[in-house]
Amino acid sequence: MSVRSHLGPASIVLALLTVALVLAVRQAAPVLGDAAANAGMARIVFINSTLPRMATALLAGACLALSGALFQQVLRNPLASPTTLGISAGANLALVAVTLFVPGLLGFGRDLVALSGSAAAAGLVFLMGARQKFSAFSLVMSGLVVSLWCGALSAVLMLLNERYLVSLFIWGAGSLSQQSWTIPLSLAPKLAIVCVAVAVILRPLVLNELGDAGARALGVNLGRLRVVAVIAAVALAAFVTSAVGVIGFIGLVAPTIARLAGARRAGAQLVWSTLIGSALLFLTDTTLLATAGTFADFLPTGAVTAIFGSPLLLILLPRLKIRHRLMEAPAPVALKPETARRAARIVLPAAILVLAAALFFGRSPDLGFTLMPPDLAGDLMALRLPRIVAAFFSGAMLAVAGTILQRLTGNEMASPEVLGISAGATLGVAAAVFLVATPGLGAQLGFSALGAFGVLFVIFLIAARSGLQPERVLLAGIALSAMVDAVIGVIGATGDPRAIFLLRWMSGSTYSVTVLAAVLAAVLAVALVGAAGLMRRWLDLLPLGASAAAALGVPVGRARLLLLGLAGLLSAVATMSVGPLSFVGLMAPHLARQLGFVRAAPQLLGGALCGGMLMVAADWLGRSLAYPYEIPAGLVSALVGAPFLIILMRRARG
Amino acid sequence: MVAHATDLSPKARPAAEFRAEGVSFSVEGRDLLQDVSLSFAPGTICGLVGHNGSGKSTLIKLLARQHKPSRGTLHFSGRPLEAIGTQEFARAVAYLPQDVTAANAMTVRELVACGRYPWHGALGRFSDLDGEKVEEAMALTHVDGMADRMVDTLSGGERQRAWLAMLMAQDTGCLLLDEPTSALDIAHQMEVLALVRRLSHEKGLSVVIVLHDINMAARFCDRLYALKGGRLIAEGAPEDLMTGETLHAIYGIEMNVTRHPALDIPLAYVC
Repeated sequence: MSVRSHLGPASIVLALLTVALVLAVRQAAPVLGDAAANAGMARIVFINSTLPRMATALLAGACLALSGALFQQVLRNPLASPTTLGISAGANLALVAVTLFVPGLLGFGRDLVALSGSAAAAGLVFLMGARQKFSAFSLVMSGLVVSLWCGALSAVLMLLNERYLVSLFIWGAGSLSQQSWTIPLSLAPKLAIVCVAVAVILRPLVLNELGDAGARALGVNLGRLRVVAVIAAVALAAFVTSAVGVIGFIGLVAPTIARLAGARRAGAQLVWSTLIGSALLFLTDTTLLATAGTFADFLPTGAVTAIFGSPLLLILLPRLKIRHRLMEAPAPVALKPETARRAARIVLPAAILVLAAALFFGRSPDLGFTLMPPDLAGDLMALRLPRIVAAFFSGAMLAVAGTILQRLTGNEMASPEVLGISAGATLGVAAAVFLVATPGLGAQLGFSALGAFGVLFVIFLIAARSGLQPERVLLAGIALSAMVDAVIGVIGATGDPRAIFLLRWMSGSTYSVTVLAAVLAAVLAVALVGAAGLMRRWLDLLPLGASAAAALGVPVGRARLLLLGLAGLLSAVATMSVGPLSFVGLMAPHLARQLGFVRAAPQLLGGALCGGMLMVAADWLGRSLAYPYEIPAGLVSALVGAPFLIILMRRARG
Repeated sequence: MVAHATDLSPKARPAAEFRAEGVSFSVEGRDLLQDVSLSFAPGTICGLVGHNGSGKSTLIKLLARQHKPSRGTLHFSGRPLEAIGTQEFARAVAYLPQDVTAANAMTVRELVACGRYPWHGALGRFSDLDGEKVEEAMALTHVDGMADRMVDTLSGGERQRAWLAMLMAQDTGCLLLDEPTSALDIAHQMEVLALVRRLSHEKGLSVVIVLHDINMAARFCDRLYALKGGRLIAEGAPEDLMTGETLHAIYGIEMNVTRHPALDIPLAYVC
């Protein structure tokens, strides 16, 4: 029995290693076979670059897989891993920020910096999860959001400091390329130390499977066990990130394979996950070297693992038991419900005021704040008006899309950004940039809409099987954004000038908005928001649930399809000018509801105006804060939006 | 090994009794238990009965040290509960949680072997004695026939028996059972409770058990403790407690008591 249960994982490790070794030997053959003739450069490269690279792959894979297996054991969560909990991304962000702003701190050791970053990310994720009793879903959900946010922020930080751009980016995306034995030699003892610690807590970890009460009754100190296990897992992820950057999803994939292959108990899962992870990353890397040739040095292995790893998350989703619902406690509404007319009367003047302020108020060359001087009015108008118009209408569209999605999925966390629809639009634009030489506005819009629809389609394909449970829809969306993110990471790492265009575009800068784009955004916004207004009755009834809405005569299937299509279109158009990461689509509907706009029509209108104001304010802050430099508006609102999301998750009760 | 103030090992199994003095427990300002004072005698089966939310489960969780009392003191074998070491306590008291849905990815034997953890600890060897105790526990509870089956393939009754076997392997002098028959049909309830009674009498174990069904409690317990709204309102032998008046006080509905036609035990029914 026990021998048989080890047979499966062992044969998988063997198979992975065999294929990897065959590939590795084929690459090494010219050097090894022709020793005398070729003793020069190639041999030096082989010994000091290729071999250490292989060792690094083996060690990093082992560390990440062990870290993932530990998280999965101690949290009793099959989706936990350094990637899905945001641990790796946290370490990465810390390293990027320290490198750019206080490089002196690196003197204390990269590991220490990475460790504090990953610990901070872990703390944040657990803080969000604590309110919902560390349920599997809430942890992964907050982890992925933290992960995406940290990833985006590091990307943008690098973007703003372009001299570091390419090398940092390749490193950040997890490149295993080596020039010496330093990294594998420093990684090995760290892994060994953690392994000893894990051996000590192995038995209590087994008992952890009995549930809290059962384990405690047998004399396990659960608090101490969790602290030790989490510290070990966080440290492993931090070590790897500090050595080679973020290598996505190995920590999720390896334990999953181990489990499917028959490693059942905690001990077996830890050991086999570690070995499988090691072999898996080794194989990925040798395959990459074999197929990409010289280009492989610049193609980050980590981004490649992420592209192949995130679909696994989608496949695993149906297996996840979801124990709680997010919508149990509706947001407290302070005021009495407002009507659409009141919404217009209250919020419209505020919106006009904000627009006017953003238009006429700005910073002068001597760094003071001034009203627009009349003699420069024409020039400044031409500069400011298009971007303000684009920002306002994009914000409004995101807000309407968010309102639709929140009502449709019955989940207050839904929004174009969280569901990955914006990321899909980004991917569409990326395709446009690379497929069409100089994509015009129309081509960009078309591709961006295609990308958004693609993501929507996949999400609902996956989630429909489980009856569109809101949690699954959300998680599927986040997993998709992670994948899109990884694709963009690979594109960014190529150093292609078009990638830099794409990055700037992702950060949501309104800097380059043309008059035509602004007009287009305005026209589309009015048309699409109007269309949403026509569907307000459906939006009122659908949150009651599919069966109740159908009983009241709503054509549920058609209504959902139309509304989803509308939300996709809105997100695609908005993403064109403010990028995929603004979180306005999440914030604005809530703001509207807090103001008392509870029914569909007022929430749509009030939300749209709020979203517009938020975006214009972000745009103004972006161009005034660091004057004469500019912070992209999408980034400014993301910096506000992500903490907002965290507060929201804290408030949602399990 | 640290020398213990009191030897709690099964060889020198002393009078293992629980004593509560003025124990209260509140969560978020709500009192789940108020000023409960009682003692559970060694070597007997003590049943906790009461309406839903009366504090039965809370009391047994306090005894099992799953929670700490807000006020009052708890003693085990004459020592304050919080003064006993974690491992020492797990060697003396075994606890069956209400929810036994965890541990699906184990075989029954592996589950039962978990009960040996307090004895071998995190690093100690799993000795032959440990192995013997596991086999013995499975034989006692009649789960040896399904030792290699996965826990998640078991029926509710089998699963509860498997967990009981784990408690047996833990080899303690005292069992705390929180509704061990909650999910069982009447046949399996009889089976599990008869098992507990047999084990208690064969091995001289002290048992504290939470039961919903007053007739089952009266049939299998030596002594009953009735809780209502977090307070202890009655205690005594089943014969003394099973009167219409007392049952009305406990459950708040008109009840009466008759005799079992075949066995000489009281039977309660709703009027």
